Amino acid sequence: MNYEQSSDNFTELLYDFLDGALAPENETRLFAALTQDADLRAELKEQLHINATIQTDEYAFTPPAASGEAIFARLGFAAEAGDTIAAPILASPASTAALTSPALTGVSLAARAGIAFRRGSSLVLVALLSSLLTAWLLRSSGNGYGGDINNGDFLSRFGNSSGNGYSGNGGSSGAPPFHGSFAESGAGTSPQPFVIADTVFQTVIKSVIIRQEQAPSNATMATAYQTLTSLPEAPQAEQALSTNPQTSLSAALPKVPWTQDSTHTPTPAQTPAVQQAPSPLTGITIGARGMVSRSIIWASVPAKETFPSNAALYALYSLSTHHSIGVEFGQESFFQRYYFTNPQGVEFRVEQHPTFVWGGLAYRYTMLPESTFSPFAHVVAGATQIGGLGRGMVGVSYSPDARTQFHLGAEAASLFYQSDGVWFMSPKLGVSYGVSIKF
Amino acid sequence: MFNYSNRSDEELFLLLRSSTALGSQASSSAEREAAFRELYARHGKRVHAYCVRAVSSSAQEAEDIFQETFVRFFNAAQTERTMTNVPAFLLRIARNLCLNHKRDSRPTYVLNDDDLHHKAQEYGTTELLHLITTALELLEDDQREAFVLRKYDGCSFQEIAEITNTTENNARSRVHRAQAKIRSILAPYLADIDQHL
Repeated sequence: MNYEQSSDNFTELLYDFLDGALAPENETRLFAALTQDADLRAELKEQLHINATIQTDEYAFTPPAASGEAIFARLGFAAEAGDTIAAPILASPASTAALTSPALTGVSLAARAGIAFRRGSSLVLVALLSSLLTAWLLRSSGNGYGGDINNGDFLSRFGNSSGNGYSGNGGSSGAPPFHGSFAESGAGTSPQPFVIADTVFQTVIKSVIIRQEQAPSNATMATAYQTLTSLPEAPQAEQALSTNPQTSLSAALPKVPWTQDSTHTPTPAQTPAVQQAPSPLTGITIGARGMVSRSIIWASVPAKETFPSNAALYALYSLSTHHSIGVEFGQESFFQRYYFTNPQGVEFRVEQHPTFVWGGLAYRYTMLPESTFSPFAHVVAGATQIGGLGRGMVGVSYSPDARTQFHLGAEAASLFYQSDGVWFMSPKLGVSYGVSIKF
Repeated sequence: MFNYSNRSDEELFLLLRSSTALGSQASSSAEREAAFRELYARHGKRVHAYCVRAVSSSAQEAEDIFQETFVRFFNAAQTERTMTNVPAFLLRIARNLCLNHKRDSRPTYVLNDDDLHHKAQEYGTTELLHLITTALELLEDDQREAFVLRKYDGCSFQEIAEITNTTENNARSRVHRAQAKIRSILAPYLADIDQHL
């Protein structure tokens, strides 16, 4: 770079010198000018001071830990203790104070709150809606616990395995809390046998439940406890248990007053079931669904539908709480438009709308398996008589209890087939609805 | 945990990929995380300095842009085939986010001269830093950006030119004009500082 002899250009020389970009041949000129120009020397001193001061800008050079955590969280990485980037400079008390100033702390907290809100809001919203709807349904049915208790799901939800959910409120599943509202559960409803593990803890729970079902409608948990502890069999049970700890409480409490008049005479239907072996269907979900869909290709001919058309049956096995695989079979019409050329070389266009039986492997992902409402994705890879079939569905399932599930979703499907060595596809879009039972 | 401190930026960038779509070997989740953490540790300071000093007068906006920069950087790693200058790429992402942000809401900053006098009562490093950062707000956007890229991020004039889509001479000129303007803004205070030094 050429510099002419002027004050401004010596400043340029000075800046280049400070930036390490000054050519050696110009250094001599700059140094000569510095010896003669006091203003230039002052500027050199000030610019050096500014540069040095900038390097102490700890606030700029230190990303807040909250920002790092937020980034890692957004990318699905767990936060680590060492995520804060060390500043390249020594912290001065003043700058440290600046870093922990209320304003900055407020920013960090706001950032954390914002991230937490974004991450949790959808779950909270789903949980809230689920809880409200479940509460409304239960209240309108007048039987707060009938479903869960009668089919044994209550204990499986509230501590069958660990027992630590006993005093919880059901979490996001929307199940009502154990405390308090037992009194409102179905006075006058005949208790049904249900399966429980034969442990002392669960037997006590069972006794409380059963007796509370026979209790006046305004009974409370306290009265339930009193009912339990005032059982005439209680001393005998304690004695039996103290004599032989292996004795189950259900064995120690053989006579449970099933009826409100306390006849102590259980009917066969009311006899509590003993522990049963797991069903071979455990983990299996059987479902049926219907489809209302339209061909994406404009269908010029009506569908030739054969009953049951646009319906499917499936069986899924739960690999985990979120993942299930299985098989699915159905019957559905697909509009086809394809081309072929006859031996004479004439090209024909074929349009038809037949119904095909299809089957395939299914996979389902349930996002919130413990919630009453849960988004899910369902895909099927299969085949028909004439070619392959792929279908995918996203939707929301509603579980009024742990066994039954209704679903509604948007579905896309496509049939793939070949004509004259050319592949064609018949895509469809629509809505799927159905119900399933989990064993 | 993987130790990637001796890997180059380019190697780490390739490790961020989760698929083989671009021909390179897919990394495991743990490898991607370790590579990303290493890149964040290396360049987080520079990007943050740019966001805080060149982007916005609002700390919250700067933090938002800083976070978004690294998230987009990670996502871009899934599609970008090659990467020769990771810090420049990061700063370009931050700059684009900044421009988008400014297009949506152009902030104004009013310098309170009384505040300058008040803050300059003591001439320690922190006070001068406050004056410098306040003076930065008075610069034109392109000058402030070039100055921050040069003085805070240590970018060469060529890198500044690439990041800001200008020529190297323009980048040099912007930095120098920013330096001169900051000096003129701070002249009364710098004169006092000279006397105290």
